[in-house]
Amino acid sequence: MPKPLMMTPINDDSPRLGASFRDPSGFMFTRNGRLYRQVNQAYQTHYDALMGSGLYDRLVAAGLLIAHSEVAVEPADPALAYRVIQPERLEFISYPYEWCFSQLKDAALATMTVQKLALEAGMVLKDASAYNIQFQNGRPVLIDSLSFEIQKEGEPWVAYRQFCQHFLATLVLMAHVDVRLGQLLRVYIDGVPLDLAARLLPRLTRLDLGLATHIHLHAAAQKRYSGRSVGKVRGKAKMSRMAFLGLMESLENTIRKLQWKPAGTEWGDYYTASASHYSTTAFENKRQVVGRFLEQIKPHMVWDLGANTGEFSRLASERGIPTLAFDIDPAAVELNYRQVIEKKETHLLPLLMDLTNPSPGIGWHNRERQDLFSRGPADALLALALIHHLAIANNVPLPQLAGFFHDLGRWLIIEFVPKPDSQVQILLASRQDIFPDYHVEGFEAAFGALFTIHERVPLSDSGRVLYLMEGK
Amino acid sequence: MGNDLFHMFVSMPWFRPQAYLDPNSGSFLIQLLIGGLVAVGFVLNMFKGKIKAFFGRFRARKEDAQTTDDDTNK
Repeated sequence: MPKPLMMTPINDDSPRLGASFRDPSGFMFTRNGRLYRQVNQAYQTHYDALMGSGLYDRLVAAGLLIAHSEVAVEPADPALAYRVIQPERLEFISYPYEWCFSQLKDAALATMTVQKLALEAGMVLKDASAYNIQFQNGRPVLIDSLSFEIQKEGEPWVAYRQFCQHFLATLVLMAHVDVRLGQLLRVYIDGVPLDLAARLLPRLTRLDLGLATHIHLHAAAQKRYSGRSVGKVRGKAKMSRMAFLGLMESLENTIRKLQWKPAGTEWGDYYTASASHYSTTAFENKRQVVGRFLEQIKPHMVWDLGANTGEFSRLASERGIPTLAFDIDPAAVELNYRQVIEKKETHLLPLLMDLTNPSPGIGWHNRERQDLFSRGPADALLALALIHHLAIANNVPLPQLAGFFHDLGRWLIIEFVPKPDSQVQILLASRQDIFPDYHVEGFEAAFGALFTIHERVPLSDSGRVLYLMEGK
Repeated sequence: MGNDLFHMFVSMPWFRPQAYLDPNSGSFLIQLLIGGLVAVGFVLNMFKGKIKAFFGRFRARKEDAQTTDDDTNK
């Protein structure tokens, strides 16, 4: 049974989503477990323009905007309401700090494409938050149907600052400094401050016209005009259509030029280098057993924890099961996502996640962006070649590990990696063995307290054991 | 006329109660500058095909004339 989303109640029957409070155009609410969006009267003209201009149809047909239907449901706040719409359901809400470089880049480019199509229809994006993009069927899609407004002739882009902070600054830092700086989005919920980005970037980036203007000059202008009103200038200065379109093209080109190539991945060569700890027989045996377990339990959704590049996640996704492939290594997630794009896979979403410090609830009231557990539980978890990293490298006692998995999913397909295994020996090489209970019996006792162990299959040619368990 | 009225209508402050983002003064102003800079490039880029075609035609004519001259001199 899925846990309720983080919500702020308007009334008991129709709680409003915790992230849906800034924009007076409308808000999201749930009723009877269904998700709706109230469109407010204040937004009526713009909503009608979106629907009537053909823009909505074009965007939905291009897979760039989430489809919705207008429904005859009592609004959550009738005094303000114009319409209630029901957006298509997403399997999972992920956040930009859980995306790899190419996912964030594709999300930025999707936003620019939406903007271009909107401009052709006489509309413009009034916000450009990375949180308005989600991955559906493997591709980025705008989920906020109220992000458009009729364009005011001559006015600069109101969401320019937000686009630069959410997308451009983060991508530039990932590409030019360190890919791990994508995690800054976890700290700065409204995107990376431009002065910080400008300070962290190498001086050479000032020679790139796009970065010199959209980051360095932009940061300097923000500092220069901080706290000053632009009311008078706003009234007089106009931005020509050519200047506006030029700005959009320049932003898009700057984003397109940014590249990051995975190198030195921690686990990226795990399977190819598997000869040292897996024989071909053991590897094939593992694939076959995991596949059989999946056939047996037929889960609605699988979360593969420690998925590396998604070798075993694909056993689920290729069976048509929506699958999330979590890994701590940005390079592994990047390689996995590139495969998703190359093979046009629609059921697999690779995501960046440190299981020793999973995404927390952040933002206003800690409710704007949900923690990982609130977005679960998953129907089934895969935890293959993972437990030794958590139990030995991170010192988590086995009973606490069992509790962690129990909170995260119903079914558990887990591999126990014993101490004599070469991978465990590597972890123990530089430290004292303070894990007297880390053995099959200790593992089964700890997990058996919270799970019913349905099957245990020793992997041939290996001391490892695969388990199929169900939460009690 | 209709178009002007429409733009007057959408320019009224009450028309945009939903413009909830603070665009930031610096971000707002810098766009005017960057927009001015990139507009030239954008227009050139837009007409790149036409400019190329124009010079292509010009060169072709010149080459034709050259060929005709050569033929005449034979």
